[in-house]
Amino acid sequence: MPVTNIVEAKEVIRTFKLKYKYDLNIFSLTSLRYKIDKTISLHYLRYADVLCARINEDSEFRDEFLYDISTPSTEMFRDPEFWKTLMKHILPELTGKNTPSVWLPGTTAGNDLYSLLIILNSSGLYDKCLLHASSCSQKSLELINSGWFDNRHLEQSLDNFHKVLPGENFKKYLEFKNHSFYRLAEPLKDVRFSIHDMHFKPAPARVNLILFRNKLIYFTREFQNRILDFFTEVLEPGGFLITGYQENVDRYISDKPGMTIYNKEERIFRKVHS
Amino acid sequence: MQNKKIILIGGSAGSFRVVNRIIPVFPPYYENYVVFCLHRLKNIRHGFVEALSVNALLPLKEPLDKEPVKTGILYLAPANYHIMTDHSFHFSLSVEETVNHSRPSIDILFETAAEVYGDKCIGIILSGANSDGAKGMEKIKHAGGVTVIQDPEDCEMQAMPDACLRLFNPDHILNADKIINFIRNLT
Repeated sequence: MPVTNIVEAKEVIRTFKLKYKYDLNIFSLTSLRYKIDKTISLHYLRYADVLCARINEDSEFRDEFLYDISTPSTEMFRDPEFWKTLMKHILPELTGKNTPSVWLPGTTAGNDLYSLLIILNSSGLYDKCLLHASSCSQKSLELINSGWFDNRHLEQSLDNFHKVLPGENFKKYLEFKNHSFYRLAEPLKDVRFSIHDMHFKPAPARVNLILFRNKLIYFTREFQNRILDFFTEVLEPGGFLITGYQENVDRYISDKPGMTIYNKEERIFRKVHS
Repeated sequence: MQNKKIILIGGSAGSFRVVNRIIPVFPPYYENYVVFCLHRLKNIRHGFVEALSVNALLPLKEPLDKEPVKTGILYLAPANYHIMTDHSFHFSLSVEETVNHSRPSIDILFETAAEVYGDKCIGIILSGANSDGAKGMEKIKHAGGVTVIQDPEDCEMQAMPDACLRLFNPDHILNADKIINFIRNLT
């Protein structure tokens, strides 16, 4: 169980809300407690009350904390079958339109963003999409733009990559420096980065595809529904919303007028044309 | 809810054969909650549930995030997700860093279940090649639950039950046949 107990977690939530007006009650409490544990450990804070003091006294810590609690740690090309479906069915349909706009809200480690860029590049579609990536943390965006890549995930990412793009060389998208592999920043040059609030607002002006995999799981059921309401509202008719493989959204989305399940297996939903 | 037990079964390398013998032990209308957390290949979604379901008398499924924990279903931790139980008696999933090189991690499921279900937990650790599950079993023990490990002499891989023995004294050390009888006799 998390070291941080429920009372301590609620004190962290209360402190953060008083200081920054951000309500962390939107997070699933058990997940948030593990993330508070991680923050305490990373910053050598030892106890939740020391974390509360740091939140109160150090304004620059706000972004650091948002980064810590919003960063899941997983590999590139996670769920290769999904990426194959995206490449084979979704992207060709989207790029038949005038420069579709793709949004990755809650981008934290950049794994899905880089995976998408590699697929667009490999499919010759790189110049045919407009990419938006947003995060609640400036640190996330800076790390993504630096090309930083958690090398613990290299082996699994490589394995996934070869399932999605067999015969291609993954390492041509990486460079080795300072004893680590970094991702080449070049493909990011045309991505529009922005900061959003805890409610993922504002959204880009026009969105044809929202890629939001394995992020809903960190929120309460109620807040998940509010996010889905917002995403389905900003999506253009004919646009796609993609969530994670085990996310529990089918019934909520399919009950929404104008939304259909496009691919149940991969949790791909579509807004019907008006 | 108060009187029902939650049976948590963790296993890794060498546990598949025992798990396959345990699954048909749960009869239709079984009154306790049952969750399996087994180390498995990350990107293989299909085949595992189907293989384990062959002899099952209850439906076996991988729960979705925020799905309520119910009786009458055998739950299996989905590949490449950590699985937790929360205080509203729902499953919660995450893609956080691997624990003991594992996602799903047996420790995470067992620890969170110990906090939520306390002395209603029955933790069972089978054969496995790393130490995942030992800390979670210790939490179950401290919460007043019952801990059972497969006798290392009976395991294909001893590391997992051995790790338990280094941390605490399990309530029962049983071979596979006796684990199956133990589960059969739970009411």
